[in-house]
Amino acid sequence: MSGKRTRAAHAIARGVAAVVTVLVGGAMVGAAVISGGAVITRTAPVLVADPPLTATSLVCPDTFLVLGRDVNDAQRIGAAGTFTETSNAAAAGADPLSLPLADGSVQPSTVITTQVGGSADAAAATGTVRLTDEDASGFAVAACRPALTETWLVGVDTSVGATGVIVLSNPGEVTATVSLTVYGATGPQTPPGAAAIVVPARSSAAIAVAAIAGTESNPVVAVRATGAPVQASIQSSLVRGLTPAGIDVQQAGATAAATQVMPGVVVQQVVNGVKASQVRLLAPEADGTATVAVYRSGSAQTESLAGGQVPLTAGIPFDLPLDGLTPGSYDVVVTADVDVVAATWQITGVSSSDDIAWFPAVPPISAATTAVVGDGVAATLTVRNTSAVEASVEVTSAGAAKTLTVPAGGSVQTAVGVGDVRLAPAGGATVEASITYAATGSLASQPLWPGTADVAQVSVTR
Amino acid sequence: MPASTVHAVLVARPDTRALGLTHFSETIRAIREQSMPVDALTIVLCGRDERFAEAANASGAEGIIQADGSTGFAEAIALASARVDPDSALWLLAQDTVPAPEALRQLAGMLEIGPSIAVVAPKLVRRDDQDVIASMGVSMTEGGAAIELAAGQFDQGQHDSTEDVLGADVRGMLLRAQRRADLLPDPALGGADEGLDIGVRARLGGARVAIAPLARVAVSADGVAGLPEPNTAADRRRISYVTRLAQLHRRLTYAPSAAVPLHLLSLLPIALWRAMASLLAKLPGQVLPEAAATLVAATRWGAIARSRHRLRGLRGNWSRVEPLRIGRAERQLLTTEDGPRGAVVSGELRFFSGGGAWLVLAMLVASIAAFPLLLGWPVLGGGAALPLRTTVAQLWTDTGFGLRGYGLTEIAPADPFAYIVALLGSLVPASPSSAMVALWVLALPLAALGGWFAATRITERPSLRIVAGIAWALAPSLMSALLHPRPAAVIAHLLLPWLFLMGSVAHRSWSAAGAASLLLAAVAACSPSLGAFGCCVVVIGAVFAFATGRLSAAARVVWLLVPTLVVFLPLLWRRLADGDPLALLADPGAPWQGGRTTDDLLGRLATLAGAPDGTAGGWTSFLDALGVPDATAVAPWTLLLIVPFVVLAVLAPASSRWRVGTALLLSAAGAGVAAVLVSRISVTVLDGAAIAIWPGALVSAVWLTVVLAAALTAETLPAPRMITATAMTVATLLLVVNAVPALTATARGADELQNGPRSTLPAYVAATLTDGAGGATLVLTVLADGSIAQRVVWGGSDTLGAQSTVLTSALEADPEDERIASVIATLVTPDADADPGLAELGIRFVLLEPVRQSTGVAAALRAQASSALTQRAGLAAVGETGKGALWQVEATPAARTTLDDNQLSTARWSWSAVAVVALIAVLLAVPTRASVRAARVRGRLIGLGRPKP
Repeated sequence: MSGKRTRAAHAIARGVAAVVTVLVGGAMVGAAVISGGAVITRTAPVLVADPPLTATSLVCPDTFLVLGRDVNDAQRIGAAGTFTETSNAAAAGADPLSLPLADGSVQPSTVITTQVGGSADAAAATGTVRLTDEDASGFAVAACRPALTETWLVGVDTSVGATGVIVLSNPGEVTATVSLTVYGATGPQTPPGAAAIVVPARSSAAIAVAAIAGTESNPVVAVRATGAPVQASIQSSLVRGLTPAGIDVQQAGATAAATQVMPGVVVQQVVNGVKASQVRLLAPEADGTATVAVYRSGSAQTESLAGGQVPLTAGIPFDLPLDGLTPGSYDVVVTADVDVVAATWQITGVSSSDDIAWFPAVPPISAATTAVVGDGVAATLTVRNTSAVEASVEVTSAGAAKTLTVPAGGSVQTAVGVGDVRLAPAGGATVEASITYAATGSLASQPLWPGTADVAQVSVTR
Repeated sequence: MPASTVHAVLVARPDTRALGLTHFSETIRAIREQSMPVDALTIVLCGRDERFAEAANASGAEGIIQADGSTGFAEAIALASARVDPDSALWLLAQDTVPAPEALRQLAGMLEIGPSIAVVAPKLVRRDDQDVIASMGVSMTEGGAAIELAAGQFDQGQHDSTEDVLGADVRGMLLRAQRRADLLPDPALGGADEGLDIGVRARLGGARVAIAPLARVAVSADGVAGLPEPNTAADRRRISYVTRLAQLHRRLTYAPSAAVPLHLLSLLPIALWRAMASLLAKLPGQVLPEAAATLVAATRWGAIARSRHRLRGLRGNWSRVEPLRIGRAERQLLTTEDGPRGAVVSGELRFFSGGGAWLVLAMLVASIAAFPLLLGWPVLGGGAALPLRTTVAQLWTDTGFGLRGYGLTEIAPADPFAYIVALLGSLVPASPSSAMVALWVLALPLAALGGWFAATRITERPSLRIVAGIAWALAPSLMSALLHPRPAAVIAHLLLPWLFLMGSVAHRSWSAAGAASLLLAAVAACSPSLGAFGCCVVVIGAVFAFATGRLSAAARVVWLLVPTLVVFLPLLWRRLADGDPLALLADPGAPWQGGRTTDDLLGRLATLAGAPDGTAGGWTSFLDALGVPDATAVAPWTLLLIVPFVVLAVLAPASSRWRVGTALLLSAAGAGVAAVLVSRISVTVLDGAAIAIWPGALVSAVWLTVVLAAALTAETLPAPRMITATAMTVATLLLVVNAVPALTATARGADELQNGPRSTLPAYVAATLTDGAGGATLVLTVLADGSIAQRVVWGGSDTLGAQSTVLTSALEADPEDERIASVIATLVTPDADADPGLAELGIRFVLLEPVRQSTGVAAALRAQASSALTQRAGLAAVGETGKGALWQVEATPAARTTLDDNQLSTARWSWSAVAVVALIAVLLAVPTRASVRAARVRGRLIGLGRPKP
């Protein structure tokens, strides 16, 4: 009897213990699964190393090239004019070396090599050109820039009356092999003869746009160099019927990124009937959606005046007209869920005294950089801040420094005189900036790039 | 009538046992009641005690000597003998020797009739059971060890005809008056073998030692004279110490003078040998006392000289001793025990008749069907799998403290996993990498074997063991680790059931403790997070054993931690010095993030269910291939297929073996919590991205405990066999269904296994560096954000054993990193014309890996770096290879730094410590006839309680 009772008591005790065990275990696991515990992570040390740069080479424009001046050979590339160089003090002493075409006929570019000192005296120079010929007239600007291994030439015009020459200049001491990838209606392809263009050391090559992308309506060209970096640009001119409608030199745009900014696009008059303002977009790697917004330059305005949402197919460029813009200066901002490249096209009008210009997207700048404003047309510096916090930048032009406050998501403009201009974002701020040359019948854009030393910094990790 | 008088000396020691006083009084009474009374009695009291003194005073003794408590038996006799009449024979008695009334008459009579007899010893019987002989004659082996001739035998008069013996127990001995001056017990012996020593000296002196079979003395081992009963661990240590000390001292005493130095020299190797023998005999408690005895015996020069002095001139008479020594055959007869001391509980294993062998065979077939292509692969690749070093020597070099296979001059301890890799690779010396391929093919059968054996601790039913085998082989975590290759996790999974098999009975036997300790170290080496959990379980077990007073069980459990600690010690030291103990948890082997579950409730449940790789056990791709719409949403529900096992496991604490059930369930919960916690901890970094600890090994531990708990429930649930059998069948079938996507993954191409490559570096590099040319390869990987990840690889390939968590989890950059960063900055910048000094760093090749993007900062930087490297003087472009663009340094690379003396000695010490501990554990683990018998007495199952004696 009592044995039975003890046994029953044992059984009950054991049952209770079992239930408690299960509850405790369940509670432990449940708590862990629901809360997950602390997230502990670590990052490898990243070392930012400055390569021992001793010299920097800048490729400067020398000759504006056009096609069709030779009646015997319409495809022959010839010279139409010479750029006027404006150098800052650091670049003035350097001796330019010629980078001629292989046949020696023309010298599209020169290279200046300067010793690297502190960032204050970074060498910079800019060339400007004005043509008033019957097949090419207008104003164009090209800065002296280091050669790159990858260059995006987004604004390639293949419409009727447009001619363009891609200039590849190799300032280095070894041969560069360049491949051109043309992004068109059927996606990226490398045209015959463009897979391995040999640019010998200290020389240039020029390729007619029509030869590689003549059948495309709105191509984008990626220039990739192996062996040695090259500088690639497009020199283009437009003729409407028999009327010259403008010239342009377009240099490298910002590499593919989720945000692209083209500050200081100037609309001089409302033009109907022709494409006056448009944005070309390309998502090179993946499908996505881009939003194009247009804001008035020099304001904190956040309401877009034109543009809209654009679906993008990987590798196929898309042109979006920007309609309804009244005369004024605008910043075009593209945001996308994939990396894109972009450039904006703008004309001043359709008469023989008018001009065209491509505004390539500009790269972000987070450290002081120096540029030179070229001669010929009054220039304006536009600084845009795409971040969510106010940015302060110090701008030094013609020896006078002033501090500009750029509102978050807005931009400021300031007139800059010929010669040195230095832009220094304060306190780690990141801005996008470009110099716009605009006068009646003249329009050109000069993007600002980060200083050479900043670009050269290498981050090394494990 | 005997002519000479007899003087008895009684030695008492008050501080021995509780019954000491009773024994003492009884002995005094027995002496008084002798049929032939003693002529005089001298009592020596070693230590002060009122009651003893009172009893001694009442005894009517002729003299009472009060001696110090530290006085030994031999010293006490020496003290007393000074006051004994030189013409009296000396009778040696202790407090616990009760002579029968006729004893002295018989002894004295023997002395009387044999003039050549110098010593007569009585028949010692056990006081508590007087039919059992406690001692009747002692001899020694060829090695000099004392050996009892009749101890423990029932007294049937079978030895009564024995007359001459070599020696006897010292208790109750009667020494002839004329000879006794030379024959007093030797104090240097420390309490053991005194009677044997007296006998040997007597025989060398030309006299005989006789046994008087009719003189009976009842003894109880109080430890006053002779050895104490081995009741406690301290007693056992004392016995080991004294026995060994006496044996060595006798050896040094009996040896001819010329042989003494040789004997001294031989002590150290013999001590080592005996230490190993003790370990093999599962008696690790003997090792230290014997070592101490060796040390003491070898350094007591004075005692040796005194003892030798007494035998001066007599050693030549060794032939008088020789005939009474024991030969090998007799010794075997005397020492072999008669048989098992308890009933054998465990029956046959029934591996073959119970279907275990068929299960393993079936899993082998399933494995070959699941991985048909693997059989032809020379090297396993993909995921965290890497080639192994190409030679056995290199494999073992990777295990040492010193220069790692990566970095420039960094000296760091190896990951313990390198030992596992080296062991595995050494199985196929000609092509170590193929051992990994073989492991993959054999993983399923080996897992089934392990699961089957682990279940033998839970159940004797063959069907349940087979279920456990299947469940372990088809464990979701194993499937994940096999298909998304993680060699360390696979090895940990295969070792885990064996760790359970041995660890669950480690408290019972040294053999199991030795094996389990090695397995725990191996599991910890493969998965430090699982090892840390295992160590926690062991510590809890040890505390439990200690708290319940089972000290020797606690000692065995504590030993489980020792090999793990020793193997991890260099790494532990380094981590503590770095102030980064958490990094000890870093997964060894190639750092690889791979697929992971989402960090939310469902993701964590999937992790616990054995699919930490985020593929829902392969169901997502499987259902997709079947054309099921919205497979991603449906697949997580398949995790429910393992629920029956969990339900059965939850019932385990209610079973009749509830202790095991509770322990298993709590372990499962603990491992589950640990798995969830570690899955959010990252301590290694690769290519700038943090890599979280892989929770798969801990999930395996959860699964093991769940499966075993389920088997326990099925075994013990008081429900009809029909119901449990049906439940287990359903659970197993659902598990097999659950494994279908995983087993068909290779056929569907849904796995990440790859054939090779033989080297992760270009073939040209592999060929040059494997041929023995010096130098390293600087591998540059341009990351998507435009930074460059670097690694310096020594040897012809990245290899599994060369990986070092010290390097992959370093928190801060050291000067070496800064140096290489500036070298890289110089290398990849076209206009930087400083000499980077690659050859001085020992670098022979520079490899620029391809980038995935065709455009963007990474592609641009790679192109820039490529052209910079091509333009650089001193570098010869080898060309683009499948693994990247390659340049060769034209200058001969400098030799790599070598270890300085300190580092060399650290390396030697750490390696020897591991070797010694491994040897100890192996010796403990190796089964001997005795250990197997002991294991069979306890049985295979756990949780049945201690067997009734």
